[in-house]
Amino acid sequence: MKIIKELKRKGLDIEWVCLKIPLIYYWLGIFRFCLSQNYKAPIPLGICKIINCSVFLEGYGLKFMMVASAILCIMYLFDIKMKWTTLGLFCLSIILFTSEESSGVLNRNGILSFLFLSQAFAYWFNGSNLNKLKYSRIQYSIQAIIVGYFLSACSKLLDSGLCWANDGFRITLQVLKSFHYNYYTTLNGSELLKADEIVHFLSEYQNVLIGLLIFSLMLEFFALTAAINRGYARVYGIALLFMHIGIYFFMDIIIISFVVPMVFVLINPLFLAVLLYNKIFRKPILPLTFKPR
Amino acid sequence: MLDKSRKFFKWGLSTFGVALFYILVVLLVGEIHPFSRFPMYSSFPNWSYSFYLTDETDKIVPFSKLKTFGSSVGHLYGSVANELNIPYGNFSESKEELKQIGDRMIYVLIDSNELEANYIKLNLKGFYYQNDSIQELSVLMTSYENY
Repeated sequence: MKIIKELKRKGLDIEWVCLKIPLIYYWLGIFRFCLSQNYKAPIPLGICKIINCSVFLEGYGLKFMMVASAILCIMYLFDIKMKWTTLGLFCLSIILFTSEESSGVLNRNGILSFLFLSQAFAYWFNGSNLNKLKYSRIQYSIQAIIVGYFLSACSKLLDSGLCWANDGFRITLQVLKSFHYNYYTTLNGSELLKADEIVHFLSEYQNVLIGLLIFSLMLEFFALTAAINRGYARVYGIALLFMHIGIYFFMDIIIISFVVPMVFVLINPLFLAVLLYNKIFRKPILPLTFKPR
Repeated sequence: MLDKSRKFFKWGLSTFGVALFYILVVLLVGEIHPFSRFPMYSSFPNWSYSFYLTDETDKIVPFSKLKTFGSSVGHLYGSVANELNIPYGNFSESKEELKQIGDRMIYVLIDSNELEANYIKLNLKGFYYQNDSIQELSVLMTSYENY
């Protein structure tokens, strides 16, 4: 009961708790994975042009990164000093993921890093007003996710114009590339068979492909509208998830660093599960969600 | 009226402020982590490249032996070409440029991963459309001997 009282005092609601637990678990997972990859940042980009990022990837630097990430994750989970915790997580993210990019690996983790900065904004700007804080830490996170989709749509329109979808038949070349990447990683021959099947399918149903590409472009372009209402954001998140599943099913292309944070923030499946559980079995202990006054 | 517009501005700032901040920084600084305009698949050019390793008998060496992934090597190609200021794509790279990029790629790969083979060759396999059918093209980029 004491813990619950303390959580209530900090203004925690189930929606926020259900968002941050899987998010930080996922972040720590890929953070540890990156640290284990023995990156050396030989092609310095971004912040690695200013500071020597390789210092953080070996020896004491590596130990510092591991300890700091573990401490910050615990602080994040228990809502301790969140102004500094979120900033700390942002800084660690920047250093490690820039090192990863500086090693030639483009996993596009920018949105994940920015998520922590957006949450830091919520704590710095609205920290004194609990009601505002409770609303903004989720709302700002939603903005951090959807801006990536919006910019992705803008890039398509800027680089290819309105004809982006019409050139879509050449996506088969990207599909071939993607399956060959898989094949050359493991030498599993079924990858090449799959590639042939999908290329054949896409070539045969070009109109369907163009329709799907137009739909995905529209979905990305109007992603900012998901910031207006949280319920609508959840529906939008489910639509985006279907888009990703479709892209994966037809093209074997999935950008994990986009999909996973989007699912956690926009859909928040853990929260939906708690909601369902509460509806069936009992009354909620903590307030379920928060509506600004 | 002034009160209404002030309320609308406040609403706009709290609803879209963070997104707007991100967009502005992307416009100002460009592609610097975490800021990006996410240009993945923003165009579908008439080419795509994949890469593979072979040994002295031209048998394919899987990237898993180097504890890396084919996709990571693909990204590395673009990063190295940018670093060396070599424009790439559409099979426009000369043999010398491919060797230059390949040498650097092997250096980066071996720097981060343990190489078990004594001799490897880095090859490029490209795909493109010609007369509505997909063509393939394989080119040896460079070779490396482990002393």
